[in-house]
Amino acid sequence: MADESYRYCLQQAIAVISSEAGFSSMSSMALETVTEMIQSVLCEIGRCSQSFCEISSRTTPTLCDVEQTLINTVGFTIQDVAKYCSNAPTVTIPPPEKLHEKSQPKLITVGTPAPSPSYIPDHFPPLPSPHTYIRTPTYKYPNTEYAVVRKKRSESIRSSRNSLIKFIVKTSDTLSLVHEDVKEGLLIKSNPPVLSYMDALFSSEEDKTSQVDASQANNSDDDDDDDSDDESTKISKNPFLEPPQKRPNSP
Amino acid sequence: IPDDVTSYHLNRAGFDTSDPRVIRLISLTCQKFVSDIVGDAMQQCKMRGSNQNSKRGAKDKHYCLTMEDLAAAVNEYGINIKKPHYYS
Repeated sequence: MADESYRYCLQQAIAVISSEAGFSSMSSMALETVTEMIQSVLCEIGRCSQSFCEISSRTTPTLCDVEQTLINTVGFTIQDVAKYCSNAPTVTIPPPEKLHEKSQPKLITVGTPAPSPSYIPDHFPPLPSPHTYIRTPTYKYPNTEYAVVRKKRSESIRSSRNSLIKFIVKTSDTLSLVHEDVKEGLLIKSNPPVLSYMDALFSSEEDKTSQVDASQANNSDDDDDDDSDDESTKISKNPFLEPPQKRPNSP
Repeated sequence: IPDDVTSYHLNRAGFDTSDPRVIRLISLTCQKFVSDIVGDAMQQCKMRGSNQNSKRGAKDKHYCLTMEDLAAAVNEYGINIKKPHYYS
């Protein structure tokens, strides 16, 4: 609080007075005691003179009130004070410096704020900048030019392919085309199954399900399985997975 | 005593005046009050010093204001200072 700085000023004044009296030093407790005394004397003089002036139905204390107070509190008159003034110490103590309040920077307003509506009185603070409470979403219209779209598609495919290749090179085994133990011209090792002809010899499960679904479709009229129909149509497109064609006249 | 300090303390007590002469008068009064007390304490110190150094004849040139001298000086004004001898 500011109280501390004023106390410090009083302590400085006490130090000056005591040095003028002849003391070269004083104990801290004595200093504190005298500070308390002088503070209480000041407050007491102020309170007393205010009471005197209020008794005589005034609000501003005058010289007479102060004179009365001095007689009551400290016990000497103004003439005594005038006598002391001639022997007063000459050292003046600077008052505590006032710190300037840091001026708040003005709020930056972007754009002109909207005028306050009619139901808000004028003495209220103005509305803030409109960007703080109004939000208009904007959509970027996508570019639908054929050339741009085609180019972007090809770029995305290429980049995904490249990243996949890099990933497999790093994770799985690689062969070097140029020379062994060189990290250039790497080929990804393929891991074919041990017996690679087994898949071709034995029919796959897809082939079996397509046969079953086809037979079911032929038998039942109301067929609600759209998924199986889609599968059968997809599989039937691959000529290598078509079911074996039955001869019309099989023995 | 600067005017700002005096007016701050007077304001705390409820004393409001626009006349700077009154404030200066009160600050001078306080100064006189303190110098009276300090003067009395100085006399007390010298008396103690004279009791100790009566044989030598040379008195201390450095006087330190202690609680003992201050308590003795202030007792004449009716203020009793009590200091605890130890912390309990």
